[in-house]
Amino acid sequence: QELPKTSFNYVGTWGNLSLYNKVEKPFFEQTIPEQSGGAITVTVQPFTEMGLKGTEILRLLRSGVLDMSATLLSYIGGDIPEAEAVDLAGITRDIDEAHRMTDAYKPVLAEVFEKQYGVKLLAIIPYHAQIAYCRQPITGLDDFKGLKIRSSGRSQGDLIEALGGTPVGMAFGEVVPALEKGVIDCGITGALSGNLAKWDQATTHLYPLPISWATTFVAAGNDFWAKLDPAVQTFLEEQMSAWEDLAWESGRSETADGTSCNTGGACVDGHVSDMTLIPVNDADYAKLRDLLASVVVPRWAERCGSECAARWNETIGKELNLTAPTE
Amino acid sequence: MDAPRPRFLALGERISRIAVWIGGLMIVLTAGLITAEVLLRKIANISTGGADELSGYALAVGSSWSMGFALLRRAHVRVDALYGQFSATPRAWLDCLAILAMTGFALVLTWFCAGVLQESITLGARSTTTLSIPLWLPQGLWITGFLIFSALGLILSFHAVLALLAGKAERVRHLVGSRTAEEELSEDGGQPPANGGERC
Amino acid sequence: MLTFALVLLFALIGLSIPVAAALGLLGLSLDQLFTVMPLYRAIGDIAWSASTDFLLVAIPLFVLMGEILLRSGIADRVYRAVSAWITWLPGGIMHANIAACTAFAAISGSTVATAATIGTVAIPQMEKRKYGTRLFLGTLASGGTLGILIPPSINIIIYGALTDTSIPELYLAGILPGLILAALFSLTVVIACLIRPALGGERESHSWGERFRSLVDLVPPAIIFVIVIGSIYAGLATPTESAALGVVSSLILAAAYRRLSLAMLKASIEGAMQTTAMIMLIIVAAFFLNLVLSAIGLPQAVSAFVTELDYSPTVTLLMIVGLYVVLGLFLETLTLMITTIPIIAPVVFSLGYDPVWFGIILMLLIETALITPPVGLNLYVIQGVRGRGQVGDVIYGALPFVLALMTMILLLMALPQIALWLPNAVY
Ligand code: NA
Ligand code: NA
Repeated sequence: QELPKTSFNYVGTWGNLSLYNKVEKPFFEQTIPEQSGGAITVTVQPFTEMGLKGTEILRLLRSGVLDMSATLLSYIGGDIPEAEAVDLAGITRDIDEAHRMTDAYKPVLAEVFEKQYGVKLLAIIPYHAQIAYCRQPITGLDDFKGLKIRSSGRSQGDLIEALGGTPVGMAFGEVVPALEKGVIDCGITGALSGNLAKWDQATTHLYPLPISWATTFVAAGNDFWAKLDPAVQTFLEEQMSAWEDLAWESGRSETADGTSCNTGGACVDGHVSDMTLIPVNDADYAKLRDLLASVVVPRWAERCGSECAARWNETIGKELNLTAPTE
Repeated sequence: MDAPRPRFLALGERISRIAVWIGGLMIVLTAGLITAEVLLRKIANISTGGADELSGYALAVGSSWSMGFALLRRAHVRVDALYGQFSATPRAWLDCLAILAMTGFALVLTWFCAGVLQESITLGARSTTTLSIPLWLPQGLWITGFLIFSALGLILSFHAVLALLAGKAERVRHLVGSRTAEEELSEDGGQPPANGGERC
Repeated sequence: MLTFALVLLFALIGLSIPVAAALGLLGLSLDQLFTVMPLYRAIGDIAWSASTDFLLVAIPLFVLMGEILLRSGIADRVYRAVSAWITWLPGGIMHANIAACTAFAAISGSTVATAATIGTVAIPQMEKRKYGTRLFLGTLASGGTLGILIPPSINIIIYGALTDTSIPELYLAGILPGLILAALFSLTVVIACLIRPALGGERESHSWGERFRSLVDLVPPAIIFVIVIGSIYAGLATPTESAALGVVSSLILAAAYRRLSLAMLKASIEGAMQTTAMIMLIIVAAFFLNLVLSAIGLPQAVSAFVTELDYSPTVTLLMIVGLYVVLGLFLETLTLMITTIPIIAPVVFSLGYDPVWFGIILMLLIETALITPPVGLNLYVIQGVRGRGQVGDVIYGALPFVLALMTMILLLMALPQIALWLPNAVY
């Protein structure tokens, strides 16, 4: 089947990080043109190159400035509380669980995106596990009490508070010096990205429980999407669904690689370091579950409203056996 | 001919002067808040939480509320390498061009920043931090500053163009001309240029 | 497209349109002419995210701190104290000018505050003691530029924010080059006075008792430096937070000197806020322009062009230095930084140069731009403080110090460790 000639812009995530370079860029720059027999061409650029921070993406899609773009779900949690749903702090044990939750909730999110915000949700992909790097010995969740922890996003803050720690907001570039000088005790970032940004050199202990997955969405502006030929729409949706699975595999391998690099194991993309890996035990998971049920989920449900909480209960809640209060 | 009109100019001046004090007070309070945050964090190991977010809003609101005053004090930097070579009349023309361009830019900015506020109201947007502040609040204050800035720009443009057409080059210079170093000194009571001064 | 953009930029700026409006209008025109995306609709979102950036909160804080210190009378005391120690050198109190600027630079975030504050105290001395006018004024204009090289520094914060470089490391990297540059400035004075002894005026002599008693006056600025800079390295505060500590401690100092009053506070606030408004408007306009420029592919084109030229990194870097010297003749320095860094810095980093080191090179280039005509802010500030005679005196007087700055840049290119040793030792 011949597709009509189409070209558009895709503004991806951070130009210096692997998600853009290994997942987004090859797909839009090579796979799409190849698979469409040269009919579809995409101009690809990371938002960092455009001087954007990523928090503006949803609004730029809505106003039609961008055709198609991607950013962290947590960045738009203030505009769309539903966006936090799949990546609430500490809610998934591993990447398979995260993938299942995301798949379960994706239709709900797509509907909210489309009906209430006028953007077409195309894919939800993970970055990799966001874990805690600490400059002092810790043995488990209880030790976060009294520590100052650099975090981002609302629900991470809720979780840290529930643990008795102090969430600190800080620009990424300030984190390493702040860790070195003890302005903060721990920081949460990607297993591999923390290694690449040399967080391992300012810290000693790595706690591999995934706080979140820095889950990212890809979406298109409704006006742009509506103007595409239906055949192109179908083609893009099929391609992106296959690409989504690849991205989850990449998230899995990067999480493993990052953890291994930091703790002196085999290392592909980072540098080998000698941090101490803290084992996560069942008591920690149980405690986390309690805090989720008593603090993190209820606080989010309050932000999102009762109807939203009910839909969460039908999807993610059912899978995890957790219930968000619907007032 | 500018008999009834300067009343608007006087009003504009009064409002932008009050606005700059409020804006400046926000920055002073920010300094206090951050200092408190630093001390509490070190001494008592508690975080007021959100000092960084609040000071971000203070920066946005404080600067937008001061833009009108800066316009009045002719502090928005202009490069006068060529301008300096001209005599009074061509300078008056350039001064009018400058204030019109600045007002035009202020209007564009006000229009699209108001769009941001409208969008926040439509989306019911809140900040993604533990404070979870409804964004219309800081953004509404922010827009107010741009409105003052734009209104003052329009008033100054109006008077400057009138003066230009009436051939009063000196009045144009007085309203919207490029500040000279001597003027900066005299306005500050013999102190060094405290205003154009600190521009890095 | 590049030619069009440059011609339009120089036309708007040449017509003396306010810089913020010129950048904004340039962005809007380029958007209309060269992109299919309706980028103009993004102005509001860009403005909001730029003007709430926590890193930039340091700007009004440092500006306010400078305004308060300016009115606190600290400059007189510092000046008297350093005079007592180093006026025996050939060139007399001209060395005090440079040393006082160096000391004041350590508590001030900007060059102009430094030049204006020390200039106000020093210029009466020039006339009283019959110094060669030009060289004397030159020491003040150029000494003032140390304000952005020696931490704290607004310009370093802007560079760090634009290039994602660690500000604490940049701060450390500026200290040693700042001290060496101050020494080079002094050396310039010594050489000039050995060649033409008439340039030096009457020298003062001070007893050791006087000298040691004067040290007391250096204690308050030292305390402020320790609070603002020390708090970062003691793990108490981030660079932005340290600026807030600076404001509070300068208020306390002004109160201790009995200079704090409502009128003084009002004048400080007005001065600080009009500068802040001016800077933030330029930053908002420049961020929008950057969005348009990257959407039309300008940084990529520049980068591809440089790569294609295939000169060695050293030659490329020398060309970039030359470009900045030329642009620095005509452009206001904030404009120069915000419009060029997003385009030039990635090219420099891709050549393998260290971002911290390049930040310091760039500060030296900005310092040069501040004292080269026709657009050199510090020249006009010193002329403004002086209040009579020709600005040409300051311009001629600053020229030897431009040579000193060029020497420093070459020195730093030959020995990057001058900048990198301290941050590497600490981090
Ligand atoms: Na300084
Ligand atoms: Na210059």
